[in-house]
Amino acid sequence: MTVSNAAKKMPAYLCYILLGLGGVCAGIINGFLGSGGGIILIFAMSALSARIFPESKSESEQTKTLFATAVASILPMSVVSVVFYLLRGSFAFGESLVFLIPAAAGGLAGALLMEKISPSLLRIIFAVLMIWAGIRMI
Amino acid sequence: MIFWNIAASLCAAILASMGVGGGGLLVIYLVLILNMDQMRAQGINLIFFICASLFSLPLHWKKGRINVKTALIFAVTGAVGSILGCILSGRLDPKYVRLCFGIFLIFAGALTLLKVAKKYFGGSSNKKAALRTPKSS
Repeated sequence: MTVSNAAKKMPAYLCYILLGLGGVCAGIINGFLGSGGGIILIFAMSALSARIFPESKSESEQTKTLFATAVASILPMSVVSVVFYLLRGSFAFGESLVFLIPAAAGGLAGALLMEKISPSLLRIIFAVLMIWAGIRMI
Repeated sequence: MIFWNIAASLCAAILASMGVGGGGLLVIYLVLILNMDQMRAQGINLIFFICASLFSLPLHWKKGRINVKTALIFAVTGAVGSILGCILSGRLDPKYVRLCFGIFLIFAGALTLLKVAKKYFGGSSNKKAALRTPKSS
């Protein structure tokens, strides 16, 4: 509540600087961990949502825009990162092929499903899975 | 095994294209179930995400869900950040990268739970707090 009020009063250049900082952080995480930039972008955008979205947008529309914009923003970061990973031989393109075809189908299905279901339940399930996996990894 | 590979990447892609952090899901599968090296899993996840997002973005775009100005700022600054992140991950011992990945997962999971909880249970208390705040402040 207070964050969005502060965001409304903020001069435009400051808003851009904060978004830019969020982008740099997301990029560092994306290059360093190969994923995870999205959550940083989503937090940066929700903190500044009063400036980013026109007030006419409904909350569910805003949420969809938030997630879709994050996907669009991570794409160029992933392209930069994947060049580094391929050049230093972290993985071979051939071994990734088995994952790419389902990725294409899932990508299309996810964009279609966004219309029908609220991702909140998915996010709770996924958050619990992340914590479990994180504990096993450290 | 190939069946599970396909199932895992299909689920991860559905989540990833909705922005629910599906990218992490594939790394978790590759590292914890297939016992793959951390760096290899991360690389595969990156190219996997590129493919999934290329197929989901046209529809997101058509539905007007992409905020172009914000995405452009993120793309330019994020590309610079990615270079830094890649240099860092290349220099660090992969076992520490894995440790950081684990810590990041716990952190991101906790943050997500908190945010969802706040949205559903904290809405009314937030409004009360805003009403209580004096106008002068």
